[in-house]
Amino acid sequence: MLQTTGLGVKGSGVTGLEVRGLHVRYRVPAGLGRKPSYVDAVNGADLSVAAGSSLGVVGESGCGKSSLARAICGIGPITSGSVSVGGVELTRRRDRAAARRVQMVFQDPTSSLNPRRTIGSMLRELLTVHGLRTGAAVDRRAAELLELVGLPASALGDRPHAFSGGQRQRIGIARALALEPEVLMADEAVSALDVSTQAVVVDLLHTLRAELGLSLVFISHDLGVVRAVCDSVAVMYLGTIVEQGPTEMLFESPRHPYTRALLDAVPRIDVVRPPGSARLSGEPPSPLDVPTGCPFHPRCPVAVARCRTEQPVPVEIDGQTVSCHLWPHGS
Amino acid sequence: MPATGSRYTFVWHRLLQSVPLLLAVTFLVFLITKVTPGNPARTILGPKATSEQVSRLSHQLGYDRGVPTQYWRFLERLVHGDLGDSARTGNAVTSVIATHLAPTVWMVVASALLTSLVAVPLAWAAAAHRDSWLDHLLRTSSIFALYLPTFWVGLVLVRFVALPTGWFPVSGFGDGVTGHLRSVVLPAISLSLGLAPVVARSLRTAMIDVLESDYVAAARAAGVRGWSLFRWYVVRNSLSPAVSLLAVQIGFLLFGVVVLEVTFDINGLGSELVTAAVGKDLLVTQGITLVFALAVVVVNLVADLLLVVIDPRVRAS
Amino acid sequence: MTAALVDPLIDPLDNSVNERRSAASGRGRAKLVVGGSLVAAFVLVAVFAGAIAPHDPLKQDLLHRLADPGGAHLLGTDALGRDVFSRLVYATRVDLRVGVLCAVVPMLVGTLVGATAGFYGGVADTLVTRLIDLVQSFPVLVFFLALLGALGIPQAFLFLGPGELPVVIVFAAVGWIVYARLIRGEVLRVRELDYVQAARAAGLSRPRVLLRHVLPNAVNQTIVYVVLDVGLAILAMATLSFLGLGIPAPVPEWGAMIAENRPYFADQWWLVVTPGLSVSVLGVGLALVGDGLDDLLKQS
Ligand SMILES: Nc1ncnc2c1ncn2[C@@H]1O[C@H](COP(=O)(O)OP(=O)(O)OP(=O)(O)O)[C@@H](O)[C@H]1O
Ligand code: SF4
Ligand SMILES: [Mg+2]
Repeated sequence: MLQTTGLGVKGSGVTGLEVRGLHVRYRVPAGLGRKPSYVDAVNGADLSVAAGSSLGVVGESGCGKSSLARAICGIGPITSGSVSVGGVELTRRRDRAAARRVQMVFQDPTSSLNPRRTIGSMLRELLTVHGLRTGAAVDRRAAELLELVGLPASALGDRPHAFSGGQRQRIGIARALALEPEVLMADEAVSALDVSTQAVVVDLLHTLRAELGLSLVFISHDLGVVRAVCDSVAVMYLGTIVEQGPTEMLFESPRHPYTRALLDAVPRIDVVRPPGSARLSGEPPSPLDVPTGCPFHPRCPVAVARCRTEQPVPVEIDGQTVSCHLWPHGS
Repeated sequence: MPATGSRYTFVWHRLLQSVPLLLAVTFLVFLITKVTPGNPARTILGPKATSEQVSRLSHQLGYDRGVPTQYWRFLERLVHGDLGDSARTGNAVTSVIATHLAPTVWMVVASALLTSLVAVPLAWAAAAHRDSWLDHLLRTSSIFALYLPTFWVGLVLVRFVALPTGWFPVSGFGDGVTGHLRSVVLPAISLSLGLAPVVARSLRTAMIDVLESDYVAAARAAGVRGWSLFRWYVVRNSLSPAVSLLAVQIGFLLFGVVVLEVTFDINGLGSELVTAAVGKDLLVTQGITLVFALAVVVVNLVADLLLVVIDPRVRAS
Repeated sequence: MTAALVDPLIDPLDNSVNERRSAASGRGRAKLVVGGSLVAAFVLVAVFAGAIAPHDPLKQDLLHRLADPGGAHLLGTDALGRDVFSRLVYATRVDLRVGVLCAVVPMLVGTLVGATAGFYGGVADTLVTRLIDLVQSFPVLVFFLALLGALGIPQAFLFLGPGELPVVIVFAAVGWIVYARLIRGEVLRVRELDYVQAARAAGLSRPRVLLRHVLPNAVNQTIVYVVLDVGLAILAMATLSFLGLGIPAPVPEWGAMIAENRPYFADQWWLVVTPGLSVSVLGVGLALVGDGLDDLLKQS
């Protein structure tokens, strides 16, 4: 299944990643004598990404994108809800075989590789621990993986400091691919790179996704890139996925006021937008103190009385899912 | 923000925090009699005691019971001011402490004063002229100073200063206030020679933090310069780190005093402690160690409370 | 005395100094060379003490008491007619051995506890944080002194000479806490780094992640401190021996030598000056190595 190639699987409905009602809550220990408080970083997220297709996740800083990614990857807490891959549920505690099914490419190229290990020893460790290759095949596979991401086999003997940011991200991708995952999470995997390198790495991710039939979750600040390469998009606001749907539809006819605000903040949709420049009025959101009702209501230009008290439930309209009182059931 | 209210809360919190600390500290001191091989009652009474005497004391101190009971007994006796009797002289440990306290207090005060008098200006100078020769000298000397054996420095000062010049007594505590003063000068110099660069170095770091802070930048922008900037902003704001630094150092300072009392034959708590430890006079060892341990707890407490007075920003955090 | 405990005071890992990295690296190398040669010299003397010392350090010769330096006795003889130079040489062996043990044993124990505490959290974590508060408001060295008195001075043990075991025990009993705190803090920092998260996401076992990915990147400061601590341990041990509580007579040990030669200091000053200088020079050598290592490690 992993080796299924070509774009044929794209949107074919083969179960890839399924997330149901995912909740992530952090305990924030407060100082002496004070009660600990909680941050609901992800508030009941539903997602599905078919094998071979890609989902973009967008939203302001602090809205819970990384928490979502880490929970799916098994390295962050899951308070409730389920994550399944290929129809099998993966809990927080995963055995080796389960862990390997979801892999992640990290944001920071400087901290994402162990500075004391050569690239070869890192890859070999993964291949042998998981028993994916033995003997001489281990080295061959390690070289193959580097080749897959466009690096020469000679890089195996070097330590991370010998590489540029873009090269390190490639190595990070090779590391994730070493385990032959079904789902690849890319959490701001290109944000730290310069623009031209970004394009190359994004390209690589999407080529590999198509060639290997992976489900790709692509988290980004950059709406332009998401529009260009993702099959569908999920928009997050304060831990909630407020709108989700096929990319073109969502960009052409955004339904949620927050999505509209995000898109309005982009002068031209295909131009790279610097992160955090969304022209949204009102206080920036604090996940420590999520408003009652619709989390977006303090900043929403079209809020009605009911928005303050009642939390909207997701409704599906033409394959697009929206959580907003403006879109009542059955409309 | 009701400043006085939070100050009282802070004081309360800090006092409450000292309770478990005091329990832990007294427990450690209590352990001194526990680590000795064989029956501690025998060690305490000395070889001449009869076995009845030994078993009576064993019972009295609770050595025939479990460790918690023994510790409880120790605390009970402590509260009643009973630290037992010296195995060598038979004197009560409390009276041993009382008679030897004064020279030690002199030594501690003199050393702390001299150390601060040297360290504070040194730190100011180094912080104001960062990366100057003075700054580098301070860094280097603080590392070297750390490895100077205080007792050896003391002996060298006696041999090459006190003996040739006759300015200072070679040993003993002298008579009267001037006599005492003259006898603690060389010990204080020996101690601060090692301690002052170390303290100065960390004070310097604290002061640089202040110098680089936003409010000093604001003051500079407002035209406050030179000495007045230093006096009003840097001095005031680096006093807190200075106080806590000196408080942390108190443990090392006390050990230095113990060693120097032996070096200069000053008959204070320190030399008494060493004599007791060498002679396995367990209860005297324990009692004097307790005094030093409590001194550290109290100094830390006072320093923390002082911080609230100096720096109103300190809250119960 | 452990360096990590006085760290806020000596600040060998001063990050506030804004200096150019290349300059720091150059100075780091210079410090390593100078300090390293000093330390190497002492180590060689300790290892080849038998070949270097012209006399038996314990052999008394009452006919040649307090001989002046020169001739058969490079640094003269002490009150019992023992060759001072030979005693200094053999003392190097004792002081270095105990100093290294007093730094390394607590480091190993502390690393084990601190790594477990930081990585797994739980009771061990709470314990380490509480204990460090205790150690910081306790006169540790005065306590060492009292403990050594209560322990008495037992005989030699395995490869350890007389009095060495209690010194090591007492240092380890307290020193591990300081290292545990240090390692715990580093482990807490490193375990959140992406490459550790990646290792966890890859399903590697927790001990494997800790040993192969977290620890190697968490020990830099510890390495620096352990070097500094060897010198501080030697200093503390020499002080305790001077007081009569560390290494007992007639074993040659620098602090004990100062104590035994003290009555003759007025006339034979070298009897007291040379052992003290040995402590300081070795200490400074170790400090330079530690400081230089720190400069270099900060580069990477
Ligand atoms: N371990 C944690 N403990 C407590 N709170 C956390 C923790 N991790 C994240 N948070 C909080 O949860 C919220 C969501 O964080 P998260 O990192 O998932 O956001 P994000 O969308 O990835 O932001 P960014 O775009 O800045 O990466 C933030 O408010 C953050 O402060
Ligand atoms: S629910 Fe109300 S507040 Fe929320 S986005 Fe819709 S209109 Fe705005
Ligand atoms: Mg993030």
